[in-house]
Amino acid sequence: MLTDSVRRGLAAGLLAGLVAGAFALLVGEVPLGEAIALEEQADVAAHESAQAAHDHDEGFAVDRTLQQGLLPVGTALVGAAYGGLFGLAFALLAKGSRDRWKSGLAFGVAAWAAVALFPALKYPSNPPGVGDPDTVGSRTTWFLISIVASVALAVLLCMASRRLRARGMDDVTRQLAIGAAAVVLYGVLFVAMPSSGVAIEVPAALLWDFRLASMGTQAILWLGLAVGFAWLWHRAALKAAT
Amino acid sequence: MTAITAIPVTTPKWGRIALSLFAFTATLFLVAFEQGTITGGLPVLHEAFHDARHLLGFPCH
Repeated sequence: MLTDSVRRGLAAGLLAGLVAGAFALLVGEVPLGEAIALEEQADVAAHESAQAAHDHDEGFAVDRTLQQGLLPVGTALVGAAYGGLFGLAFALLAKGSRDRWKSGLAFGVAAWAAVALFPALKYPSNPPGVGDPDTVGSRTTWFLISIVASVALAVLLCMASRRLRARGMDDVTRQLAIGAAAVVLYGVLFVAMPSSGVAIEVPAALLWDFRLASMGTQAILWLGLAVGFAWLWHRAALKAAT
Repeated sequence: MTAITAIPVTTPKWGRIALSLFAFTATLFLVAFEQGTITGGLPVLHEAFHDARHLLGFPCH
């Protein structure tokens, strides 16, 4: 169960990461490239010479073409790592599940909301050129805290829901209560965490396009992982039944 | 003797869980968060996975 679950998570995550990478290359690279062009223009203006911008370029260890080529590699690696963790968590939390297709999908949607959606709404992604490099440490810390806190809250809500069901509460009352608690607690968490404090100087339309592409990439990665994972379990169940 | 026979049954499972946990978090760290400390100050991994970091929403700069 454990090894199978991790293996299926890895496979589904790797594939979903590749698909997300293809989407990111086609859709995300457009605003990303525009943001880099703007950043370079600002650099030239700041140094008042093209030579300065040229020197800046040579400071890169990895050139732009290779960075773009490594985009799907990066998303596939992140997808596989998330998939492995996802398979591990599923094996430990959903032991008693009878319909793994359904519970895999539900667990995947919950994981997407907790690990990707909530942090992305609180600390939205930014294109290159936005954000003070001096504050990247604290921004990374708060980003990680937002992931850990929202996952912890999801686990707590899930445990509370199981306890209420064990006490014999009917499904509709239980789901209303847990849903209302989720809205209030996530709302409080959202307001309680400090804002990122990043000054945005790129055009609003570019920022919107970039953030939409970024959230799309993450949604494809997580929902693709969920569907692939659940389907692999479903296929295994069909094979075992025959 | 019972303690000895119990070990091979339980240890590999938790050992494997710990090992895979480590491998997955290490991969995530290297692709998404590492800022050049490992490669001696030059942010090689940061630049290699630059676009993936931005589009997956990780704080990059």
